Amino acid sequence: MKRTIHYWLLLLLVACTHQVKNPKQAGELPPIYPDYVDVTIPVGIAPMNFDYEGGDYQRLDVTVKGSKGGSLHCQGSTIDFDLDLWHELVANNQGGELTFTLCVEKEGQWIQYQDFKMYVSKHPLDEWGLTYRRVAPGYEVYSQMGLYQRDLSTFDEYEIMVNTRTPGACVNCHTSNRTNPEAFLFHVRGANSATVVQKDGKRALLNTKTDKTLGLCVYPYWHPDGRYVAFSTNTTRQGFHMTKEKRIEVFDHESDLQILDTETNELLLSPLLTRKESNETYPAFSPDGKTLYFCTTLKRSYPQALKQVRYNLCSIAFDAQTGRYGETVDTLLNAEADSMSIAFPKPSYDGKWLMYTLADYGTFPIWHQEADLWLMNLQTGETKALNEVNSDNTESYHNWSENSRWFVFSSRRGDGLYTRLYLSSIDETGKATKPFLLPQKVPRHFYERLMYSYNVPDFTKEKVDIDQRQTATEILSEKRIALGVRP
Amino acid sequence: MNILKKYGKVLLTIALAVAAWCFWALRYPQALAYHEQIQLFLFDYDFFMERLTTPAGIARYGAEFLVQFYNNLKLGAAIIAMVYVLMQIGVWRLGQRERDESRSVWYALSFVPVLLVWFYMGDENMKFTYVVALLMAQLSMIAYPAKQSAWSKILYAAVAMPMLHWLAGPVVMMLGLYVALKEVLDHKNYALASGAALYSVACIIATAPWVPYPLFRLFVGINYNINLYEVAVIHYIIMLAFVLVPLLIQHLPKLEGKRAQAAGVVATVAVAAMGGFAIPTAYDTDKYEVLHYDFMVRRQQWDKIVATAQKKNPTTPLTVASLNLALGMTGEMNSRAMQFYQNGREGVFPSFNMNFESSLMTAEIYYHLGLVNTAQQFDFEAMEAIPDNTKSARLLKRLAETNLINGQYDVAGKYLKLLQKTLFYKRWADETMRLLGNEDAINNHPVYGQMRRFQLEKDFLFSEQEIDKVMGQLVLQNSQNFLAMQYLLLLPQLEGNQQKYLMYKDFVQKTLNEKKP
Repeated sequence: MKRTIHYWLLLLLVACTHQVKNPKQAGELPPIYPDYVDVTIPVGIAPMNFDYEGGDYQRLDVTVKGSKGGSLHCQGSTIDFDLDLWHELVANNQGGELTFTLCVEKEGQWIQYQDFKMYVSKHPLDEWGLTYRRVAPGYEVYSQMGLYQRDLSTFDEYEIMVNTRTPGACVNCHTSNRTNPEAFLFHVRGANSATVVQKDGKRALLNTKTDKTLGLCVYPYWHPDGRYVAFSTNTTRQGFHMTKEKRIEVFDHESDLQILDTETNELLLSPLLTRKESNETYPAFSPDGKTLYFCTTLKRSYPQALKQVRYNLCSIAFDAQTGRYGETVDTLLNAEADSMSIAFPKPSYDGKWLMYTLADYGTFPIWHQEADLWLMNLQTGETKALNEVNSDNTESYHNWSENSRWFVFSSRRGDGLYTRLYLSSIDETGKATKPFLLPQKVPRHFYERLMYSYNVPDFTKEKVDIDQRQTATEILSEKRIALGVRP
Repeated sequence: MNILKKYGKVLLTIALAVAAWCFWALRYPQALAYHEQIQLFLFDYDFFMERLTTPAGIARYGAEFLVQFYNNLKLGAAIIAMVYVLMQIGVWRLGQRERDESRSVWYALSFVPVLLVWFYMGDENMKFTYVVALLMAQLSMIAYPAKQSAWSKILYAAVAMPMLHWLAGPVVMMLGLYVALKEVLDHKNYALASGAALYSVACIIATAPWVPYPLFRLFVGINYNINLYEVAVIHYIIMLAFVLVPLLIQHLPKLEGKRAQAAGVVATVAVAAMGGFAIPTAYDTDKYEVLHYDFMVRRQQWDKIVATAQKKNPTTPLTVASLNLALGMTGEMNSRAMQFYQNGREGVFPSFNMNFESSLMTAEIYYHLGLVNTAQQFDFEAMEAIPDNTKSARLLKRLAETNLINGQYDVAGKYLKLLQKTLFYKRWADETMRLLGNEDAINNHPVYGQMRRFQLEKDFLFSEQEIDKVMGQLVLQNSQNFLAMQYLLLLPQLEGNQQKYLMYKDFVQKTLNEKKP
């Protein structure tokens, strides 16, 4: 029935469309935004609408043909594909390609550009959508911000928690366990500080500051069994550059690691991860939960020695049965030796790869233009820059889909300041495909109008189910669970 | 006397308009400039939809539409005067549903709610959304079919109240109360009265699950006040006044002859005196002095700032800092700064305190010094520090400029495109858009080119504690940066450190000698 309605609508549309007559050949690829030429997309992705950037025009006309059959036509002032027809076409061409023919009517004359392609990956993207924070790319003050989730098959965005519900609060560092929001947490900062942990529909608001640890829990990572969460705890400061090339430097005076046992509400400590002479940060469990990866550097004098601060990638064993750490720390990547610094280590869930961000120095590559994504083969230890996805601007935070075939990352390549999200897939050899900007209904207008950066993107298997109103009420209350400490 | 009798009401209303215009255009134009700069009204479908999808969004949209005209201060004052007049006429219209001329004696009372609004507007954090919402509530009360059947009234209340709540916010309680009192006083219909009152409150509560705001904010009014936590009692007193005063006019005794004349005169004098004495007390001298200095800095009225300071010595860090900037811009800082009251380094470079006004004004100092990054940081922080999460056209303009100077053309372009959707910044944005990527044009621009020449090339992290070093670097970077030189020499003077002063003076002299063409 739905299909019949679509066909009738299409027929009606065809009756109203202007026929492309005697188009002049442009002999070049079309100038479109976003750059979707030769990108690889998953089945189920929202329509890859784009804008024409070649000056004034009367009308756009695009025909999409699938290598395995099917086609789609769209004409109008913007390219806005029909949602259902788009999904049908993409699904029918899984493992194949879509060819786009764009014609533009300018002053009564049609111009046809060279065809371009999008490749439909054979690997599914099983997640329902993305979660992220949207916040203005500011310095110390924040206004409206929130945690959101986006249905990847449509353009619909939903609130997880926005700070208009909890005035004055900052919400951040949301994370789920292997993209499953059944175990989900985020931090609230400000007067009503808390770490909100929601597991299997039950919610707890924790006060993670104890007198035996450095401070509040910061960067989180769930243990795959769902009982533990690794956190860093950081004393973070900011500095502001004086020259035009850079804006901000964020650095840790001190930082340690600790693991929260969500069943006993205890923080598990290790002397190897709370050393006075070093900073440890960005924890991440291996997919089997037996190893905790993290970044570490020797403490230096800040901010004087800032540009000499370089973090290496290390690991320590963890036994989930006993909640005990291993006795030794292994250095997996000595970035300092190459005068580089590692951040955001994220092992793929299939255990093959570890993706990280590499910058010239420091712990916060989000403000480093030179920061790029790198990939480490966990079997061989080999590393390589992900040149297929890197740009001249910042690539920073990233996360994997559960099948480890897709990853999402944030980049400032759009305008140099406002971070946006890009998706790419990866093959068996670790080769990534050309990334595509998170689709929007009218992309240019949307991204130009948006005064927020996308932060901390992650996939989510299902829509995060959280009672915002009740959670906000709990946040505004003073009730918090205090944590114990197990040395 | 006959003329007064015939035109008395009109003359009083005109007097209100004239007084309001003079007050805002001549006495407190800085208040208008302040409100204009803490908002960004866009002629844009998305902007309208953003407003429409929040409670009180249309009142906010209407208010922001009007406030953008404050860019022209005289026009802004005229808008406020017009709104006051509409409100006063609305009160009178409500109190005179029967159009009984014998009640004209109480005409002056119809000014009371408006004077209360005027009084409350002394709080610079009160937003015009509240005023527009009051006006919308008045309209809904006027439209109430008081003389029609009970079913008509029920139908009206059933539809109008949720609509009014969504479009204008908690002023819906005014309609609820008005209907309740009207029904009790005129028809003894207690069922309808209590139903209307409860229904108006229920409308607010019912929307709570659907909007991302705590319930208390729905009762306070989203965007009625710039401070999200502000719950001023006067806020509700005014709402009450707009309901009670018309009913009072309606139910006060009818007077005739000399008694009427005397009562009219007494009421008029009492109301005028109330306004005349009470309103000025609501305008905090210190706060408005800060706004006045900011107003003059924004317009780069350096001589006027110095002249203002000569009349009354500024004492707060922000006003003193503005004066020092003005002295620097006129080249008189080192010869005259110590003639004025100084409050140490805070009166030169106020420290960052996450506050809109302070960040904004401090950003101006850094901008004129050529510390473009620091100015950009403070401007961005100022915009984020606007408590009700709105953006600022003034700050967006400055951010476009700082990004342009820094060669960040994509970001500058993003801001300029937004400003192209405004009424008063569009022309500037169109012109500036032509500079994007045009290095020669920017380098030869009288302001942006100079900023580029002043910009530091040696990187380090900004430190308020080491501001002397920053000034020294600016002087070394460009010996034409006379403002930085003046600040450098002022700092030891403020400390009373003669040795340091002589050292800095020597440094400045040497730099000037070395870089002499």
